[in-house]
Amino acid sequence: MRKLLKYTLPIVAIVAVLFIIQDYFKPEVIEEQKTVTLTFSIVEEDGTQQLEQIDVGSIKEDELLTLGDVIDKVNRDHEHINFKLSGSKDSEFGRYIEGINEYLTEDISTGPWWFYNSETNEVCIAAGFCDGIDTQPVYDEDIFDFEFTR
Amino acid sequence: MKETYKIILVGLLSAILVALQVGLASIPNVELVSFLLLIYALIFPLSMNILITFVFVTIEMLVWGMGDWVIGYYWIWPIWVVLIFFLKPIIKENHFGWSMVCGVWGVLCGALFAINHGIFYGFNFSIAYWIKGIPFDIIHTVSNYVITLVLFKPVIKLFKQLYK
Repeated sequence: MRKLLKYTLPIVAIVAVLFIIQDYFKPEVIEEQKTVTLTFSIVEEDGTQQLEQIDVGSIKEDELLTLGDVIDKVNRDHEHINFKLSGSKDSEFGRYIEGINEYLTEDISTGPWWFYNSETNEVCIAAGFCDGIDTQPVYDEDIFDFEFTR
Repeated sequence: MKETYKIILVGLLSAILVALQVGLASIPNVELVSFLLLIYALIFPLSMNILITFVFVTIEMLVWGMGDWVIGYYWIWPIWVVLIFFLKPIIKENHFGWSMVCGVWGVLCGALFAINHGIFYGFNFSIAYWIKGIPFDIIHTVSNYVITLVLFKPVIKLFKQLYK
């Protein structure tokens, strides 16, 4: 028993340190009134077709904290745009986008898939990539570009 | 060991790794590759183990397709094997000791993968990738530790019997 404890303790310590590091570096979520712009385009062999651009605004300060909140608001308020999502918002990795309107990822291994990026969101810029929708914080005047591509 | 026998063994042991990797692919970062490479490294010579990792990674590439992770696999798994060979004279067959090493490997593996991605996409990406991957590293660490703790004794015994 003592031996088991002796060799288990370092593992417990490592896991604890990892939790602390993760919490320390967690991106800051700011509560404020925001307007976030989403653009949608389809990338085809003969070029990129811009579909639409919409602005999503918040009334309450805690309404749009993550990109997932923005997408939920789009699904509620914009009838002509419908995000199809999979997974659970409360899980470790959140939900992922299966499709937008009629543009659906039918085969996850071959695509095409919906990718998104932002040249304004400081967290995406610092990392070089955006996080999952439910862990990606959004800030006022952010622009997120959604592309349906392989 | 005869060359033909060695070739057959490398193929067979690599195939076991691939089959178990694919079988457990749906559970993120719970894998038996680290554990089995440990067992292989305790029984077979270093050159054979390095060969097994290369064959394993090449088949993985054929199964999952080419990506930057393949480059990482080609140098990270051999590092694991070399690390085992360094620790072999110290830990011998203490299953508690190896469980701890396998657990630590879970974190180290994530960090090495972050370095691999950093080579391609820069330092910032590397740091962000590592931090985002911490939940996976925790799963990897805990699962490696438990798997080795539970399976080490029976599997090493079985391999020794088979390799007599």
